[in-house]
Amino acid sequence: MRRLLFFVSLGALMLAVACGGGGSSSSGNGTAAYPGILDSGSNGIYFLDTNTTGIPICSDDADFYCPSGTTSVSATNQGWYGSPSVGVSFSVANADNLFNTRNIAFNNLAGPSSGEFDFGLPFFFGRNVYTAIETKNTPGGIGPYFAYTGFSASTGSNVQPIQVYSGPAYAASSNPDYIYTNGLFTSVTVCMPSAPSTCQTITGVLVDTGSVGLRILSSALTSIALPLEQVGGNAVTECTEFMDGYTYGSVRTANVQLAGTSETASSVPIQLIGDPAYSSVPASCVSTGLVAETTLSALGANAVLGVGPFLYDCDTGCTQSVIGNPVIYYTCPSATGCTESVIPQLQQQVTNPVALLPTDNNGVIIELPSISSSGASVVNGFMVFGIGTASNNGLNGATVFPLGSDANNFNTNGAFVTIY
Amino acid sequence: MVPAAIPLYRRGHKGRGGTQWNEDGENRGYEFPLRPLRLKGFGRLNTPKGEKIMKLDAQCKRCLAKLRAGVIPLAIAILSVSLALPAAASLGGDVDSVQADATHMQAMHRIASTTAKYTVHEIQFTGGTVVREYVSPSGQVFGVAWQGPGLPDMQQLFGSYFAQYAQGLQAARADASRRARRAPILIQQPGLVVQMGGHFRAFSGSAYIPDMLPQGVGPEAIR
Repeated sequence: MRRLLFFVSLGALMLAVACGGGGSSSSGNGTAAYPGILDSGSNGIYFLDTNTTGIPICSDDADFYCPSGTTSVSATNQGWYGSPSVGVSFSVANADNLFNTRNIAFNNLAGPSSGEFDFGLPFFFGRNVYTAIETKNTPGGIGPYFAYTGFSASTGSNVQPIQVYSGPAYAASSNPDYIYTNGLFTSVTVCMPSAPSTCQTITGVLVDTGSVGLRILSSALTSIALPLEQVGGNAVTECTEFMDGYTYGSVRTANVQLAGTSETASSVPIQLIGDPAYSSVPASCVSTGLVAETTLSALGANAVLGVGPFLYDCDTGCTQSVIGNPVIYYTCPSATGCTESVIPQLQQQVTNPVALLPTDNNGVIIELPSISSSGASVVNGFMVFGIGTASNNGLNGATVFPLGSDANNFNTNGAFVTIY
Repeated sequence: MVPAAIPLYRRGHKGRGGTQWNEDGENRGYEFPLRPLRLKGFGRLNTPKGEKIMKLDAQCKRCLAKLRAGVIPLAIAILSVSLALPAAASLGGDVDSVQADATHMQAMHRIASTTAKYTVHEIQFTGGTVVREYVSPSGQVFGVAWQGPGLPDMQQLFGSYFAQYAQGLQAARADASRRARRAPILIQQPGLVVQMGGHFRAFSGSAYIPDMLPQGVGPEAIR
């Protein structure tokens, strides 16, 4: 009966409203195309704006939508080069109501963006989401691509647990202001490359398909001292730009152990955020105006594990120029004398640790079960290494969306197409 | 072979140009190869202010050589004008700052479009980042927009509005318990509106000064 009423009211709305809409559904005329990404590090589905969707913004927080009733949004996802073309839909609930539940995980938290479809963690619930790394071969083709299908849990030595919970900043402070909504966390072990059994396990690591590279807060790396990477005999630091903040710190090398001790990537360049030995942030980093994310409260995590579809966090742009790249690399003859520098070799950039695993190195699968529309306080899932490299990580009919792959042209940079 | 170092945006050089040292005494030793331009046509245009802008031919290496030969006297002419001007802030500043910066720095600069109500200047950087500056008929930069793998120099771009922009970002993320994470940002103040979005390695955004919007021009024009 409720279903019937839904469709009747939907029909009435479609008659009453031309493009976009209010009330319980929203869809465009299918003519506008936007870049789309699957971004587990983003905590909402951020898309379009209130004028286009007809969905009102929350009066107390312009970051989120607050429709009076939960709205179903329909769009079409398309590979960057035109195919495949598959319908997609998701729910947008009133964010105020969601936060009032005091839950942590929501599959229907959404907000406006400035034109892109950022399918954040809400989209991942009830799905297995595949991220294939550029240049790596998989049964679904050569990366980069995103793919997704319905949830199923994997077990095996290439699997590690992941969890959505209130996060390490809240755990450390018990301050409810530091609760992390829709944060996906896991643990990662890092070891000295020269002493592979000298290790520290970091908890509260954000799993991020929207970025590349392992970045650890220096305040969290307390029991081992990783070696500095050297370029031309000098230490290296970097300023990494994220949408709403930057991380600055030295580049160090570590063995990165995943899935317990089963999967080890050796001598991975990582970023040590807020390294006190290189605490002076260069002017070119400060002049981004972005918020410094060098503490647990600012970053919201002890570390970020970037497992996005790229190999390196900057690519060829940083081997050619120091301007206009997403990352600014510096070489430091002294701790206060860091200068913008090109990095001659790609392998010296902060690198996707999954790409450096000996096997199971062509991508990851994020598996999260469905949750109710009023949210959940804790959600347990799995991260699987490799796509089609073992008996437990095949595509299982998932639709593959190839991504644009010219790292130097933002227009094609790691996105598929969402048509609204 | 890598061509000579060419600074793109000056930092801390108010009205001066040609040096690679910023106020902190750091050497901005930039190096990058020239990339093919995505622009078409070659010719000279007269701007509303009567100055000459050169459009650059994407395929024309000879034209680039001509540009290099011709830009030095042009740059000297423009520099001698810009030395007399106040700080070269882009947003809210004078259009001369756009022309002087781009020509001096040999960044790829063109006029992307002209309407009765405003002119769009476009500056393209090596890595693919593009900055657009929206100029009113009176020569004022009332809006800016950027797209690319990395942010442009925001201090240069926002000029005297930089502090307001940076503080706006801090405030947008101040409410920790509700914080949108890795999410787009909107700063909406009476004197400045800023939108930032995109994702890692693909940023886009725009900013404008509401009071400076020309008659009949809405904020949706700035992108």
